[in-house]
Amino acid sequence: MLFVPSLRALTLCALALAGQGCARPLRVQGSESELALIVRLAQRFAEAQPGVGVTLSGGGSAAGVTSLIDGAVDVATVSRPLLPTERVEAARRGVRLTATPFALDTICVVVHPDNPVQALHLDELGAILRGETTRWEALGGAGPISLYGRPSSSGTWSLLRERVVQGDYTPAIRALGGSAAVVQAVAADPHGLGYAALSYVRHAGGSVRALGLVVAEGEAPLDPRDEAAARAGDYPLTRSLSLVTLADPLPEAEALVAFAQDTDGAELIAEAGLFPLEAGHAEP
Amino acid sequence: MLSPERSLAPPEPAEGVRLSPWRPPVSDAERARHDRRMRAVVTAGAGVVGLLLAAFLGVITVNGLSAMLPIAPVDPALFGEAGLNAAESARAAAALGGWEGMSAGLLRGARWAPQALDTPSFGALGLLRSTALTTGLAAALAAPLGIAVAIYLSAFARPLERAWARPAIELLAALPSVLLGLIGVSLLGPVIARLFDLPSGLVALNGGLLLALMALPTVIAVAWEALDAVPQTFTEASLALGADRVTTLWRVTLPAAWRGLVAASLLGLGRALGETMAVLMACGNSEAPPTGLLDPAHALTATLALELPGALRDSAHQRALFGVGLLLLALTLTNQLVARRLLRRRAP
Repeated sequence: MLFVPSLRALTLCALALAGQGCARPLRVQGSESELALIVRLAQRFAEAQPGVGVTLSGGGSAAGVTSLIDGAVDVATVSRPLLPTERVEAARRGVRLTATPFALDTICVVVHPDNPVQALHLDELGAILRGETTRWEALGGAGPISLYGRPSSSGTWSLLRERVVQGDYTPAIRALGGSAAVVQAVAADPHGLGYAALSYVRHAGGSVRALGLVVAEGEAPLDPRDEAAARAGDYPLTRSLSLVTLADPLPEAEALVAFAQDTDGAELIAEAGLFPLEAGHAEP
Repeated sequence: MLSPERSLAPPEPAEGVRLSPWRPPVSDAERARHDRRMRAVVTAGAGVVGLLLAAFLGVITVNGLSAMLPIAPVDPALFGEAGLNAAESARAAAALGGWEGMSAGLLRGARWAPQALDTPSFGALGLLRSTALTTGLAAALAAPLGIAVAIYLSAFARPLERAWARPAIELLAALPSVLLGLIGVSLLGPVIARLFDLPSGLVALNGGLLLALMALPTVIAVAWEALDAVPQTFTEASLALGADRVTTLWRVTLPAAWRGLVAASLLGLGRALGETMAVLMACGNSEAPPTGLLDPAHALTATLALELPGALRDSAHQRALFGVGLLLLALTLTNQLVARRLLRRRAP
């Protein structure tokens, strides 16, 4: 699998030139987890809307929201709810933000395919990520656990902290540039455990295995690829991917949001291995 | 401009050489006009560059200075306006207004946890140690290796080898760092993991080796130049006195070129200090400070690249990152100045 160091530095540009001259392109920045999907969405959008160019960059959900508040981008792609600090910052700058969820995604906890552990209880996962459990023996495996995650600018990082870690991550966890890098690192490490967005795990094929998650004692583990469990909100690391704009967006930004929610968008989302959401869906 | 002694008449064509038809030279007045125009263009270009440099320094100074100042606490009314509950308000207040200035956090603490839930901490010592480990290893490998290669090329290589070496070195220097990072992740990493029986090869050693590879062309090129600058008469005199080539090298050439060789090592170190992508991809970036080369490292540059895009404006995190940037600037600038000084005051 090709490793894509998809940082802000690597700016992917999907440019559609208008017949006479190019209008200012729509600037989109944010989540690395949905970058692969957004690239395709933006390409299709630019094809369908002649004259509208789109520039895309990653850097994480926090990077998207920060740039949106600063006025440096028109649309932020975000894989978690807006943070309290971001809401305060927006209020301080007199900016109102609107988030539109357009797809459901799950965060997968991945291990090496040779790891005998099949499922983890949510509390066990929290203890691992907090650094309280450091060896696989306690969980039915063998050897020390090496951890791979994302930097604090990542939406996946903050969502997992809120729902599972409920404290601070262990400082021993490695922070890698994207879900793809996490998947690749875990595939090379028989003792590894990492977290990554569903589409990257699907793309990785058999090189890593997604663990089932047990929410309550005695229940069957839930699989992140199970659409029904995700839609019902049973899988505990289900999240909606959203497009965030200002409360009074540019018409092009509004068109992109509508495009992500209509049937064309839904088709691309399903192709990427995620679960589309229709317009008017409430936050899970 | 033509020198006054030189005749403006067409030169005699050499035997068998065909010349294009001779055109009369432009008049003095026209030439002077051309000169004036050219000078204006060049001056304007230099002015633009000067302005850009001044603006750059201004931005760095303002941002750097702001990193040293405390942030005024956020107006509590904003928490209500943003719909935060009490716990969220307390955390947001800590994250947005918890910067006590550079001396309080950055240079004293070893713990870099800028987004910790309740007590963010901004100690950059761990980051400094990571950078010291990776770049130190790079310099320790690249300096002796690079100087050895330069000595060979300057004193012992055949002309054909020299002709091949130059483009090869330039090619190595032109390798994009993202490509080297990829090599670190997919080739070097697994080898290191197997050799040292580690779970993962994303450690300081990996980044240090990549940085050595990146510093090598700089070291070789500068050291080669320094050795070539040693006057031929020195070596000839030594050889004439009966010294062999190795003795000449140790007793004459190297002592005469030592400033240039140290400068070469420092410039190589500078190349490694500022490198971002390769260390970001290959070192693992754990928050825990590394205790050795086999631990993951979190270099200054990688921290900036990973965290700056997501740091809110005027947040404590952003201030701390500006402070990290200032540290990096101070390190690279000092290194460059020392290297330049050494190169300028080279022995005659």
